[in-house]
Amino acid sequence: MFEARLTQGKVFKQLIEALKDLVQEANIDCSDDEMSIQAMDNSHVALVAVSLRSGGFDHFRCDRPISLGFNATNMGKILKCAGNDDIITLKAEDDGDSLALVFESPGQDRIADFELKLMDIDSEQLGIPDTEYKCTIQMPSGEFQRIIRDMQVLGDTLTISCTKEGVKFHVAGDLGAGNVLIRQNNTAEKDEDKVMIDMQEPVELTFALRYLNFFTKATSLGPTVILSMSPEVPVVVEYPIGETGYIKYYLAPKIDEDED
Amino acid sequence: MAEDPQHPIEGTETHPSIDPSVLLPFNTRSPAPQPDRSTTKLLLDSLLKNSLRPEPCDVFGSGPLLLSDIPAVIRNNNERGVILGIDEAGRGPVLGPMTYAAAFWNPDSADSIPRGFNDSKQLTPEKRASLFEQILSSETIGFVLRILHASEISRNMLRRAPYNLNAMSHDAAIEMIWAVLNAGVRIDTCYIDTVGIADSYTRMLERVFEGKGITFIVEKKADAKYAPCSAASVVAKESRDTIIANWKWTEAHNYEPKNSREFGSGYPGDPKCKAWLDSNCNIDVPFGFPDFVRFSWAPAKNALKDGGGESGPVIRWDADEDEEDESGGKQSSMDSFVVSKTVEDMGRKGRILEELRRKKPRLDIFNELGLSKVTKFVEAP
Repeated sequence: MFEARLTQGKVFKQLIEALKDLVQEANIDCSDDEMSIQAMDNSHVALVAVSLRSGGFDHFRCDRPISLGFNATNMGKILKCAGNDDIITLKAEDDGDSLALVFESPGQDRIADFELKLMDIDSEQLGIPDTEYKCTIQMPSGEFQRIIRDMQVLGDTLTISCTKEGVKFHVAGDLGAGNVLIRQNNTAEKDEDKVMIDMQEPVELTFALRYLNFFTKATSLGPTVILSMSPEVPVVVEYPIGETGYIKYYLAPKIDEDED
Repeated sequence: MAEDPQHPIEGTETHPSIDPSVLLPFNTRSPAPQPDRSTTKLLLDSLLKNSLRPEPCDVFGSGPLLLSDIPAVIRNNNERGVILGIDEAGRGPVLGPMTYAAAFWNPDSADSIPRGFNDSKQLTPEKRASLFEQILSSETIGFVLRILHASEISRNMLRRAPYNLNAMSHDAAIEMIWAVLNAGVRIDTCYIDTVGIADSYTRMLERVFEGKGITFIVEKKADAKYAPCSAASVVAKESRDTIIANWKWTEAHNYEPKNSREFGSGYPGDPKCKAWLDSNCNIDVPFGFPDFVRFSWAPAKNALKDGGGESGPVIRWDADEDEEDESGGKQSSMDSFVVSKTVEDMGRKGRILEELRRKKPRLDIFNELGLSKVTKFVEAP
């Protein structure tokens, strides 16, 4: 038996919103201390990893580990029926083939319950090797979203270079080129407005903007975003969710192939 | 793969003129070593000259893998382990197969290894051909050859979830190393000319061959630095050239494309190759090109996209849509960075989840009949 109740139901709503454009199907893996999702997009260019620890729920019970395969679009359709202030409860039987979603309005005067058919999804559990990232950039998630949106006007490919001057986002396309430079900013009043750059050595990587744009769908989940980069490995775009969870996106870089 | 572990041929020395077409169905993918050098040469010859090509072309399978005989020096001195080099030829061209080769020998017999190895592209054709001959006749060198025909490459790359050339290269290398290991040969050091990022390639190989005691040296231009790699490079390059020179068109009996073999180097930048592609585009609607062409290469794709010559239909492949933006470098894949968790490091939790996932999927019939699993029984009122 699995049961999880989330007063801030919109977190789950936004979470599914944030991955449904990237992955069609995924497993929710539940264990006694965590609910997690890990999935790759169809073309195996990006990977999304979600973790919500049990402490973040008002009530969390998972008698034995369970894997719930779902279709993200269909899950999204059901979650559209939940109000932003609703309390969401997820329930699944150990041997069942559906997931029950209960939406309670804040005043408890409206209770809706839905059932989503589950599916058997054949997916391998993947490990992501620990990498010591050469550059870690923390910035307001809204700012990152804006940069990605602006850059998309000019081209498909974004170069992110982190140097001691700051972080430069560069795009070049048919109609011209664009650059945005973000500098370290420790003095902002609120923590979430700060820009913090931790750089051991300069890194420059190139990515398909299309995917980064999918990632910014998670902007509503938290005020900050953390980018971690090292040469020739996927960038990690992490949105912390409160104190107890995160959604992390990994995106494989574009590489210059020396043709022989 | 190894449908028939038995060698269909025995005592070949007494049958020097064995009909190669008899061998093919049993042996093209058999990773078992050949019994002796003369059989190896005979089979290699028929593979390269395409007389062993099944008809119609191998649309669904993968190309042949040939493991030579294991030289007695290696077999009798197995403790030390061999040094093995891997290299490929024909990665860039839009035409013909990509060939992958491995060459191996015992480090003790280094003296009997021919001199003058280098990157096969830097050797003169004569020198290369003579080195190839020496490798084939050597009593100390063993080799493996894996041929990835253009049709195999096209099919893999144009899948909905593309299986890209780098992944195919990695898998070909892994397949060859397994073939050698399975033949009972210990490998001490393995030199590989890198494909993609050397570090992640090394890590992947170390993971796959964990516990086999192989040291992997994966470097750029390894074929110019390490003799086994150079030898592999020679085998790969000569094999590809021979295959192309002896290409038998699979399209139809007596089929001959326009301009026949005037395709130059096969590299998309070569004007001769361009002209050949142009003149053969959609000659036989709707097939596009002979299967000698890698349909997944941009020049071939673009030619077909433009409607292909005079009367061709416009072909759209779903898989292409994602690859449109090729500016700013080639999109790499997550596959080379992530590690599939082995059961041991998954822990208890992961193991149970993994077991759950291995459960057979529900048969469609249950869904069609609207049957669902019941976990609680309620008494009828």
